[in-house]
Amino acid sequence: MKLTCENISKTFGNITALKNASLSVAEGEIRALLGGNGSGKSTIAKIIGGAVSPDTGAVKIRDKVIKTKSPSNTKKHGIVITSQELGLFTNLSVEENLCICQLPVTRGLFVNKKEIKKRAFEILKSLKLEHLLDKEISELAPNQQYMVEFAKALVQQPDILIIDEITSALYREDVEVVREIIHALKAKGCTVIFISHRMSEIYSICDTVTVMKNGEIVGTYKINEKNENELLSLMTGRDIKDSDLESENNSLVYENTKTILNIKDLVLPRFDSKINIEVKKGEIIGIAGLQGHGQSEFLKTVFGLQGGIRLEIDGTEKHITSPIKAVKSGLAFVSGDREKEGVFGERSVSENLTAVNNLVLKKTRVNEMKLLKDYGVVFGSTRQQITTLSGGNQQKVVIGRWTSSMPLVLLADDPTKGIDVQARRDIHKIFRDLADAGSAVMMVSSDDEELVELTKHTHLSRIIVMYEGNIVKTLMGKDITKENIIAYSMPKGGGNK
Amino acid sequence: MSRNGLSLKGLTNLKTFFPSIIASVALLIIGQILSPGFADISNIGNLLTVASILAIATIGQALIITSGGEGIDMSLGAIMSMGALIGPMISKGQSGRIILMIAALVLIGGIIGFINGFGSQIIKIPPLVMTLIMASVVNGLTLGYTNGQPSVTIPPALLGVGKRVFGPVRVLLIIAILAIVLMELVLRKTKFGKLVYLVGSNRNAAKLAGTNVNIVAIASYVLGGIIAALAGMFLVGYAGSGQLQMANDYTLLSIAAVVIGGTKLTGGKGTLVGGALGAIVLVLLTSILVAIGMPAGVRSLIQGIILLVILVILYIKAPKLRQ
Amino acid sequence: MITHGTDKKQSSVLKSISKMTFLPAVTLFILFVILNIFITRRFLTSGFMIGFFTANAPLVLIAIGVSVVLIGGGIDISLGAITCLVNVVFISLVGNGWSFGSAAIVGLVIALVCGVINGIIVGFFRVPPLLATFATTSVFGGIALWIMPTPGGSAPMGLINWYNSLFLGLPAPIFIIVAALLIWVAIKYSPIRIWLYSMGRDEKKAYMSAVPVKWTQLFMYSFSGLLAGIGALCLTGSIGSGDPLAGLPLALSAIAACVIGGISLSGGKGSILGSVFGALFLGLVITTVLSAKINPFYQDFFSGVIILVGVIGATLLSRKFMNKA
Repeated sequence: MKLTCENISKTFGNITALKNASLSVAEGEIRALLGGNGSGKSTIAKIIGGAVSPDTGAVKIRDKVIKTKSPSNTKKHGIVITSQELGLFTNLSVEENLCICQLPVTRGLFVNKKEIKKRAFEILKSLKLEHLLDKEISELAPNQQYMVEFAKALVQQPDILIIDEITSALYREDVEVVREIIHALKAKGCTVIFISHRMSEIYSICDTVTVMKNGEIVGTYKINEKNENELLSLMTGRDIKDSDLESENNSLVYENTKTILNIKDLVLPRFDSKINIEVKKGEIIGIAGLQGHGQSEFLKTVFGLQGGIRLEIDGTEKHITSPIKAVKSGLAFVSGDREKEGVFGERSVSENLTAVNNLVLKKTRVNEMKLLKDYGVVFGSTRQQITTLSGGNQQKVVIGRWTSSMPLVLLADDPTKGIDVQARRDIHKIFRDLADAGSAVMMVSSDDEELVELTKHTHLSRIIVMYEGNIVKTLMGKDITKENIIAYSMPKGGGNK
Repeated sequence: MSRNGLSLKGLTNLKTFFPSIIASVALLIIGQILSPGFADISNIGNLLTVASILAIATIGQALIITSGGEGIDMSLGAIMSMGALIGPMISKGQSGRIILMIAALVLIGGIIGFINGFGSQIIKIPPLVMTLIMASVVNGLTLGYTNGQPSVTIPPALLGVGKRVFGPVRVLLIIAILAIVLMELVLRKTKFGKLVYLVGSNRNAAKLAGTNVNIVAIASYVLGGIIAALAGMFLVGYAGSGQLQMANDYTLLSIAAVVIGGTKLTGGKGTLVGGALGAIVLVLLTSILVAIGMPAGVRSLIQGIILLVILVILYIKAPKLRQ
Repeated sequence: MITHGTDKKQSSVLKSISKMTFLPAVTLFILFVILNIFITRRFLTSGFMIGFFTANAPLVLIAIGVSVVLIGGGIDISLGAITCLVNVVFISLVGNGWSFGSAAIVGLVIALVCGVINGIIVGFFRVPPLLATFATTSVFGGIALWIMPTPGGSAPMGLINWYNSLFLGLPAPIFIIVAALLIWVAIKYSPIRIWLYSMGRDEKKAYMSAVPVKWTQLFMYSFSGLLAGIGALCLTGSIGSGDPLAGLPLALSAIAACVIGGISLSGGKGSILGSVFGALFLGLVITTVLSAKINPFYQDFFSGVIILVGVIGATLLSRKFMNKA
């Protein structure tokens, strides 16, 4: 076997990330790792890549135990890992970024700039991205940055390539290029471990799939051995049927429902756009579009994060100049970046939950126990530090911080990013309950399927598709399908360069 | 919900207090061995009085560090020195003008703290640099105001802070305990205090939650400046005489006390009691070194090494590059 | 994707200007040169120039050293203490009959060792650099004070004479500064530059990209230590004697010089050139305050205020023009 992991275990504090995980991948095999969050797939990838040290167990290449002491150590064995956490440096040029892992030197001392330029050009050319060479990293669109990240791995001529979810930010054309390259590497005998949440990619790219759950390996299968629902069942340990996703939709109700938030001629920074939309009471609006087309900026602008803005909220005109005003006017904002913008990591569950209610809005006391139980948060005591909870539970607490104060409109910016399927569904239910109670929810998601799933279950809902900072399409009722979202995300004549 | 949390919180905090308590006891024993009489009750009273001044100063430092955003006050010693020298000048040595003196120090300390806070939070100069520069500004101001020769006549009422109340307990110790209890209550029970922890823990999240991050952080600096100015006043009251830059060491000592006391340097977590215990450890250490006749250079050397050892032990468990 | 209607030429000019993080420092420097031509007597004479560079070379050198640390995402506040230590060791050795050369070499080795200690504590024990160098300040400064509790001794006349003279028509300290800059230029062409800037931006990412983070940290603190050593020899040439405290304020002034020079304290941004001009600007501030006939007791206060205003100005400017990207 080319790559073998034997009985690897790893705990972070009191959280077990991996339990006796064993894995072996053959030469030229493309293996998918599939699992919910906290299933341990990123951890095992990082252990192989040398970024995380295992508590027990060994990594072997061709049956020889190798040291995985550091990324530079594993790189010597041809292991290259490229991950969702972008490793690009905005203060370095594209070519320096591409070659930073192995800087060519002359006379053992000085950087060989010509060689860097040559290598960078060759690799970008193979990805059809040679026009990026003279750009700054900060000028690149998110998908281009991920492609450069991928190129950075390729420059190192990997023998074992681990791709940890970089494709979730890529366009279909990009994914196609990635697929071709991976297959070319496979032909050369390179072993690839491919981590993704997108089933379609896994089916089109991979040979085999290893399913993980709660830090353990559930099993390894040939890719055509199992269908999507079967894989999902293995991941979650529950039976998944298509009938779970039933639709009941009534667009007639729309006309007669009260407008809760009226946005007029909203201009997004960076875009030459005007957004008009009336948000109804009890409505859930999914915001779709390709990454970087203004969906996040839209919510942030409404929340007053990009300067002053006039909005009509619940019938009265409000001038929102800051999040403080936004919150006082009944808006709420949940960020997808829990660590940076969500949790108060050093503080308790209780303090995290009641921050808005007790300190900002001074509403009535929250029934903390009831709320946490209703949301299915797994916790020991409300006084325990929030970071001892799992990611999904942390995000539920952050959402509870807002829902407990009954905002008029909840703005959620990709709130389920990096959260497992179960917690994701719980969060959808929380949003639906909030809408049923008379609030409105506007949610951005980078996952089109998630938006379909969320809005399908809600009687008052629509999906707006954004392109270059404008709403290009509103989908309602039966029109809400993944195919439609994709189609309208890339209007004719537009799309990718 | 259960609001009897204070006692429970206290219990969990005890763990972070153990190292300083053990260190204090150990230092007392070492002191007694090296210099008999060190652990006498009257000497302990003296040591606690000296530690009280540092503990009061540490309250301000801890508050600023807890408010996060790389918050730190490198101007604390300069503000203290200023309080120690300008305070008595304002009082003109009369006990009757002591209220005026306190009011003036609160005002000046508050203004300096405000400039620190404004510069670091609004203009976004890193707090370290901002407060370092303020330290030289404040020292310069004190030098100018006193014309280089501080003529300190201390009002008798201020000298009273060194008086014994009962046994070895002096007024300063009681003031320090009251100050710590008061500020600890402010931190745990008031909206401002709770916000200091949240803002210190995660600025972005606090901003999104609709709190006024800047006001909370600036208020911490203002309070820190006021506390430092008053601590300087107590220092001169206890010392009985003043000299230029007499409290400059307190900048480093207060930071060291905060670190030893288990306050998280990145903000969002910490207790004032811990800082006070840290102050006791530092004062014990210095006193032992003085008692056995170590010159100033060696004292600084040993303090530095001990701080280094503590830091290395503290951070040996910190997240590594490799997990 | 998102196309802007802006003129390409104009934006590329703006882009290259925005990369010149040293511009505010150079501007301040030039403004103060002009100001001093009017208020400082004999400002443009070689006698004044010698005095100016003699007094400010230590600050410039330490600013160069600490720049490298700041760019790499660290901070070093112990350089003032290292300067003091080298100064008193050098004077003591000379006082005990050592030759100038051997005493200087011992001094530089000590400076390097101090830097290596900082580098090990930060790089290998993972103590945050501010706290680590804060503690070592107490250690190095303590040793200096132990060796020489009060100012005294005297530097060899040869050093003082050469240091305070014109060499090839220029003040001698300029050559030392240029030599230090040449070392930096050599580093700039080695992988270390890329490693420093990447670490300064994100240490963890740099580690994942196989950058030898610990060793580069060891390097940068050693480098700054060594420059503090060279700065200490210059300081000795300037004050002519040993003083266990004279070098202490340099640590903080050097960091202020870097900030004014456009180096970001969060790392990964700025250039050495900016720090050099930042340091020269700070030197000019003192010249200005001395020339302005201010009550001598208020001179410290005013130079502090000018530095504060300079740092505020540099910060606001860099935010306005440099963060367009």
